[in-house]
Amino acid sequence: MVHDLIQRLKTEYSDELFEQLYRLYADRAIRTAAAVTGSSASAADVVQETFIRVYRNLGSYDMSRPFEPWFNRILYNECNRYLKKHAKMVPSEISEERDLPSESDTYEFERHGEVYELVQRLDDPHRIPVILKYLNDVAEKDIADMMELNVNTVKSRLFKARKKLKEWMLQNRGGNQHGT
Amino acid sequence: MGRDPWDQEIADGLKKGTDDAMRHKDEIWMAIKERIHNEQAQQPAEPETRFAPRESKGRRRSGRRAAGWIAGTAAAAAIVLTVSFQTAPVQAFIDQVKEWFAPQKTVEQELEGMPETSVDQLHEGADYVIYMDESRFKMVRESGVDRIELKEKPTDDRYPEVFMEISQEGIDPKSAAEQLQKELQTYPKVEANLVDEPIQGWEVRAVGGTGGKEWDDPVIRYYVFDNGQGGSFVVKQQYFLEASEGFGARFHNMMKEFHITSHHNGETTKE
Repeated sequence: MVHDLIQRLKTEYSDELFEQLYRLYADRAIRTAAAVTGSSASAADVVQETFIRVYRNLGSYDMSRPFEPWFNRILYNECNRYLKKHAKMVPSEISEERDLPSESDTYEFERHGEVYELVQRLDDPHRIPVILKYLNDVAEKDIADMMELNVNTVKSRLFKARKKLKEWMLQNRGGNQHGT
Repeated sequence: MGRDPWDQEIADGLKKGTDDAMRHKDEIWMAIKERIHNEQAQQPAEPETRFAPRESKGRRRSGRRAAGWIAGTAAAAAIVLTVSFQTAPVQAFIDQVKEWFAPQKTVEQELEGMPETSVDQLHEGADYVIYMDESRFKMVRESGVDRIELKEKPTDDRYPEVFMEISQEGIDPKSAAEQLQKELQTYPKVEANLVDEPIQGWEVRAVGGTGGKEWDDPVIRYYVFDNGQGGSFVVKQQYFLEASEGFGARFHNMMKEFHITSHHNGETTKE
């Protein structure tokens, strides 16, 4: 279906066809961009830019290759561009001794949910693969390709991130059970 | 196949945390549609290449893209100075280049998650300048190709080569990019796209070896862009997968400070 749609779009553009393509990929793109940038408004900019690049580059898209990794790569590049432009300050390493969320974070937990907020506490090298895998269903080999990493490095980062999230969550829940 | 409960909790938690962003879905589409219409209005479609990427030659760009080219590729304002070929040959040209660009620049960048500061030196090539960290790289010039390579190469030959080469071709960027893409067809992964960063032009990227499974799979990235003289600059970056966040990021950042300094028809131009 996507293949046919793109083939038709490559031949002749129409708003209707491009909207179909947008509707197919918008949900995951918006969620991914929102999680990466940490803001709905920024996600809107990133997704808009992503689809504009898709529009501009469809002419050079190689139909013999799958569309989704190509699209995800454009999305990832746009997310990355946003992060670099806004120089998002993230801890360079995950500190083992890092304090758990304090009371002031409780509101955020309620707003976005505990898991989401804990994922945001990871540093980018761990946070981005988690978002791509769990929110966008990107295969580990495709994450590796997008981030220009060895697949084993991606696996290792996902493993560490998952372990850390679990640890934080159990600790947090344990803390809550004991009187908060 | 069911997901591990903990994996499912992460997936559900991330979905919940991004529900709020979904309310913009229709607005985003409207904005995309409007931008596409604007682009189409600025550049009348050609029947057989209606959807093909635009030529990256500055002269043929729409006003919007041309503005982006000037701002993105080189310095914000174009300065044109007349230089007499008879009285002021190469040395004068170089002197002017030195006046335009600071001889050195402090570069702060984040590499592999760690902040790093270096003092990069200005290097002038044929029709361009670039900043380079001389504590790490050196420039070797040979047969029309400027090669930036490691000053101290690893003695362990397990590490694949790392370098950046700058040259020019007498054909337009699109044709040059297509040619490079063809040359790289034997690589497991090859793709070509129009990019705005680190420079506006074509990016042709290929991953060799196993195509991304091994740490030492070679990564080749070309940037091909208008040289302002009817031809193209071709910048080839080569490193390996494990070095993407290190050397790959360094080369990427170096390209952000690549400036064309054309020298033709009796005029020296800094773009």
